[in-house]
Amino acid sequence: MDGTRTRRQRAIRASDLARLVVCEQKAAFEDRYGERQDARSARNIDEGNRQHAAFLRQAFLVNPALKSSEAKPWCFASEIFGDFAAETEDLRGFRDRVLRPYAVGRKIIRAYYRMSPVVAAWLSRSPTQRAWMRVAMTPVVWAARRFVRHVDD
Amino acid sequence: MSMTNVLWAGLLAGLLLLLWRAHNRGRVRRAERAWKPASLKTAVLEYAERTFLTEHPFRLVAKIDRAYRTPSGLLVLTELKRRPRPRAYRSDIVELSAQRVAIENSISQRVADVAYVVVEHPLSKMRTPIPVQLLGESEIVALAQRYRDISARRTIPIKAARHALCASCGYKTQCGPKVLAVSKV
Repeated sequence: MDGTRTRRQRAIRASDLARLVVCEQKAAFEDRYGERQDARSARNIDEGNRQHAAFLRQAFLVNPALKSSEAKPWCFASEIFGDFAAETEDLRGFRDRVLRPYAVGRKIIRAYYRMSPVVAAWLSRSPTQRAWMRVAMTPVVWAARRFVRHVDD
Repeated sequence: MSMTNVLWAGLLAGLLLLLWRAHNRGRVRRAERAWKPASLKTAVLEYAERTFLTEHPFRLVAKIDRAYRTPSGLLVLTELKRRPRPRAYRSDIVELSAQRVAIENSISQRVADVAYVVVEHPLSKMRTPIPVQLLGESEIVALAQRYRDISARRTIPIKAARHALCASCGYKTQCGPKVLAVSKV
């Protein structure tokens, strides 16, 4: 394989080569027509993805300074309420207007972001845990909103 | 509720969360120590879910699950699999070997000849590391050439040797007797 020809070709993935040694015929079909899965295989793949996400979260707990192509699971508030929910906006307002102007506040923000992957990992285990956390966070959001109003006034 | 009460509640919640975080981190570290093989006990986790792209010896992209740095400077690869039985397959060895080729050629770091397939049981979540001997670069280059030949229809693909695999294959209806099955040379 010479350099000029390979540059025009699409990159081969390590997983393509692994598929090749399982069944070349299947690899050829998938290469031409895309992946096709039955319900069981799709479920297995979903489980595998969840397992890998947990493996990554644990890796960040073992060594927070490790190098990864994946983003850290930063903000657990977004995980509970959603990225653009009013509650998340209230908490962002509290972070930026109440905490960030002060040195102590900035320390609290740093502590929150250090702790967030652990909470996000716990929350990702089940929707029930997310629902409970949403209930538990409601007074926190209420307090954050009051603080922001207090600062604005 | 006065502002002082809110502040105290916030501080208490923060303290509880810090304690919980410390407890979780300790739990994960203990779990790590439980499955890590002896050769990785002193190694440092350096990469996780990291993608490497190289143009040499062919255009190859590989995403590794984890790589540990040993005190001697070598990187040791691990690949996580979810299986009821602790077994490593040839496909795992090929995947890890291709990852090694991608790392060595993209960041010029030495990767150990032995890697680990970490098999996690789907129910008990118990992890078993299985050491595997990686293939050389020339074998990966030959496989890549075969992949290109099959993609370009220059050669006839071989069907799976284990027919048990066909049961869960999405293409089993298309993969009929008209498709030639030739034996591996």
